[in-house]
Amino acid sequence: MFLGSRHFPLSLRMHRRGGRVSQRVGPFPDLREASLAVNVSLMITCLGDAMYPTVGSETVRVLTALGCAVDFPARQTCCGQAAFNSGYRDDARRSAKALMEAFADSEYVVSVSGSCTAMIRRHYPLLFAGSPLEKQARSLAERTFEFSEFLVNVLGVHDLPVVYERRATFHHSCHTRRLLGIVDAPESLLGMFEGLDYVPLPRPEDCCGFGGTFAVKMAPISAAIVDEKVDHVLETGADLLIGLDMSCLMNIGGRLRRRGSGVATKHLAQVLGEGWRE
Amino acid sequence: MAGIGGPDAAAFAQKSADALGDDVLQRTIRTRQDGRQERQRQAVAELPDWEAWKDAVSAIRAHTIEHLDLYLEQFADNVERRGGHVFFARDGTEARDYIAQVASKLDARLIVKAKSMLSEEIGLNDALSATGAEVVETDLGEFIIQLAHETPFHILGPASHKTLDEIRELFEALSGRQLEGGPVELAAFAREYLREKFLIADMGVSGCNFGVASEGSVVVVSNEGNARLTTSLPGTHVALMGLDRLVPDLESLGPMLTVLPRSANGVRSTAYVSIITGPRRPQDQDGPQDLHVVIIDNGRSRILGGPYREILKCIRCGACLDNCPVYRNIGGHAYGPVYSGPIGAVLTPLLKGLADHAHLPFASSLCYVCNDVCSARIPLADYLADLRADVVAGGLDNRIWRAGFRGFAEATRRPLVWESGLRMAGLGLRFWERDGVVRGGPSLLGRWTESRDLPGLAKHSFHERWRKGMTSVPGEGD
Amino acid sequence: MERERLLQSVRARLGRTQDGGAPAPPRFRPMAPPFADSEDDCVRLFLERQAELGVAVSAVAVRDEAQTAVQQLLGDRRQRITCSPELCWPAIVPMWTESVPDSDFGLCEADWAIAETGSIVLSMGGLRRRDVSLLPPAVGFFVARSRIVARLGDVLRSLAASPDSLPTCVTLVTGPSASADIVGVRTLGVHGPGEVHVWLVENE
Repeated sequence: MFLGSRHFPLSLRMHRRGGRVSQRVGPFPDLREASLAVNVSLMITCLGDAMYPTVGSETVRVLTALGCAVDFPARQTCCGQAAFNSGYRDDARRSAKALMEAFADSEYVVSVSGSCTAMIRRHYPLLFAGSPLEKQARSLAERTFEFSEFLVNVLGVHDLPVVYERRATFHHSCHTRRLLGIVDAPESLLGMFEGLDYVPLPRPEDCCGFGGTFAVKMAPISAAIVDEKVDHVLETGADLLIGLDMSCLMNIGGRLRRRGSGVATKHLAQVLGEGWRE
Repeated sequence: MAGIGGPDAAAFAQKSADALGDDVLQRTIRTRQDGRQERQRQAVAELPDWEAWKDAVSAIRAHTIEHLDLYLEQFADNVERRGGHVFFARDGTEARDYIAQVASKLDARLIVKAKSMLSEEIGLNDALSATGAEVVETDLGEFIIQLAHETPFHILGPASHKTLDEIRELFEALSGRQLEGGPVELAAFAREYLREKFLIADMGVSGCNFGVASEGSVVVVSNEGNARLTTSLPGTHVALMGLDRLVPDLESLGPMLTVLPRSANGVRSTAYVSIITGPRRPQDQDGPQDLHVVIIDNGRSRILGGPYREILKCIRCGACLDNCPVYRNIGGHAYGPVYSGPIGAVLTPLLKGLADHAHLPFASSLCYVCNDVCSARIPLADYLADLRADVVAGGLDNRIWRAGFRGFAEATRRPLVWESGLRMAGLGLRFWERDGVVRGGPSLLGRWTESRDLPGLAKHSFHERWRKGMTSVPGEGD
Repeated sequence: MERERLLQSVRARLGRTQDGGAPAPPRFRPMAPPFADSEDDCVRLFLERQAELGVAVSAVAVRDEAQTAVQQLLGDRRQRITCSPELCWPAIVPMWTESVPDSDFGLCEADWAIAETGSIVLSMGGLRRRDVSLLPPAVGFFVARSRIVARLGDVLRSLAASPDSLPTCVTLVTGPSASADIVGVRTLGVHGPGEVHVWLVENE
């Protein structure tokens, strides 16, 4: 299977924290029989690329440990969500076209952001409806997954060699929850951890107030919304907030810091990677 | 907000800032929202096929809108057949003039009003007062804000921002005496005061929750009973109905009256639902002798057949306001008169023009909760995004943003430009970075950092790490 | 003519030339209600709903008992009752007043009662005045057991059954008049009656 880019160089050392070689988890019936790895292309997203490459690295490590062959199509940049949400549809299409080309040969695309996944799945077909690129848009939409849903629904992960001894809470992002319908997948993954002291977030469905350019266009309102979210995080007594969207975590984390809180924020992939034991 | 919209945008900025700084108001809105959300949850839990009910509301309303000409005709014919008068008003002016004329012909001295957002929309009260009549709002919340000379704060709770003391003061000023006690005693005063008005009023003006085309019936729902009094006691009843507020027949009312009270107030039914068909008949002992149904367009027909036509399915339940995080923090007044929250952010630009209201579609974090809770399955958040595209297409946007997004889009098509752009941005940010955290900064950066810290850009982008084979996980404290 | 002008613009927006009736509106058949549709279950649920709504409810075997209860209620409080003449009975004549605004208690016969919501349905017109169930501070309803139906849809379908027979005013009453417009605190009897009584007559 031609993947189009070189693999992320694997180092066994990365997996051998406990000394044992990583185990495959989960049933992928067809693939096991064929002894083929699941071919995944990582979508790092513009925010991940610029500010949170760690999330990308951890995602690659986790996917690899789970039996995926991960590549990184280097021409990817941004899905165009910010332009779309600000009304700049032509600009959104420019970015989208480039992204579709970057992932043209990918079998599975796994994104570290639920909102970017939602952009592709929900809005790309509409953005290109009636245009020559519609088919390409639909194709990418069908192949793109958010990280946690990929693990649970595609790889069928039902147990994880993860030890993470920390008190943590979880934020479901709005687009991930409402546009992709992802609610249980991340929670079930967290449930597979050993040692995790998980406290549900009060009013978990509340928006964090990021909203892309909304956060700066209507900064005072956005700040008021995130303040309430921070209150809820602090109520849990957790020292870690886990999420699926770095935009939300950057927003909530930024306000947590400004209020002098030491509560950390991490993407689920980071937590999986850090806690992975062999 | 960078240069969008006209004076209304400035008013929005001012009023939302005021609301954000008003602790009492903040607590009030949140308590109300939390209470409403809880009651809605309970009411909804009782109906295992709740989603199917909402689908029914959506389907019936969509069908009605699709055939609105036919149903309007049927409705008007039936109202007239029952002895009522129908007036089709193209806009607020025509409606006001007609109703004022009805009032003048009656030589109406006192007019009682039940709640009607439409009457707010067309500014009816002033026109009626100009005829020399005293106009009294009878819905308790509307009565309160009428005394306070304010506009409604919420579609269903017009006075939900007022405190007990503020209300007591208003009633004391009206009655000229001291009023002791709490909500119960104050409500008792309002009942006594308004009862006198009802008994001598010449004309009653109400809204119309639904018009039933097959019968020519006007359906009015209320919890207080003021709508019943308004539509039963005075000799003349004027019902205001938005062009789109029809259902085909009586059976179609079922889903409407099942979903509306649950979405709006978390109850199985409002205390009163009146289905009024024509004025008093010869054998009737009471009821108004004259019924005027004023059907108002005021921009609604322009939405028909267009990309936003689903907004006309709205049954004014208020669920979008009750769940919106932006409304939660700025309340209703910032959105401007009449409609607020997500429905307001879509409807006001559509009815009154985008040019003056280009800021409203941006008053949203696009969290999509309104889509989820809408009784009629209106894609409100999608409409907000579409209106933003209209703002841009209409050249109503800010040139700097436009250039910025264009530049950004071009960079996303050129990986080398992208990577060097990231490097430059990273270097630029370093100027305001202390210990890996950005705190100050001009313009947009400053707006973020006013209330939030920001991490600096990563030393090496993911692209760079991949290309250089950097395999270790970057250490970063987070 | 304004009507034609407006209808024309509506037609134009909908891309339609004149004529052609509308296809039948979509129909919705709800799931079987959480309660079974048996008459006993409906009656039981209806009574439960009254309690939830804060309505004073009693089930009596025959109408005489309900009338006696009304007499007692009024007599104890020395109150004046108003009701449609056809509903009157000899014992309340001394307490009966024609002046609805001055009465303390309005009595009505329910045309239907809805189990799911606990609503009373009143068809008003002719001798049935609207204000009887509206002006007095307290109101009471006689409900014949046979008039209890499961859901709102049942009533609407009955009303729609005979064309052109809708009375001038049909009102669904569900509990007392209430408002939470003053600081979100629920108060009763803001405009309509704050006190509601229901007598279910089993043998009817």
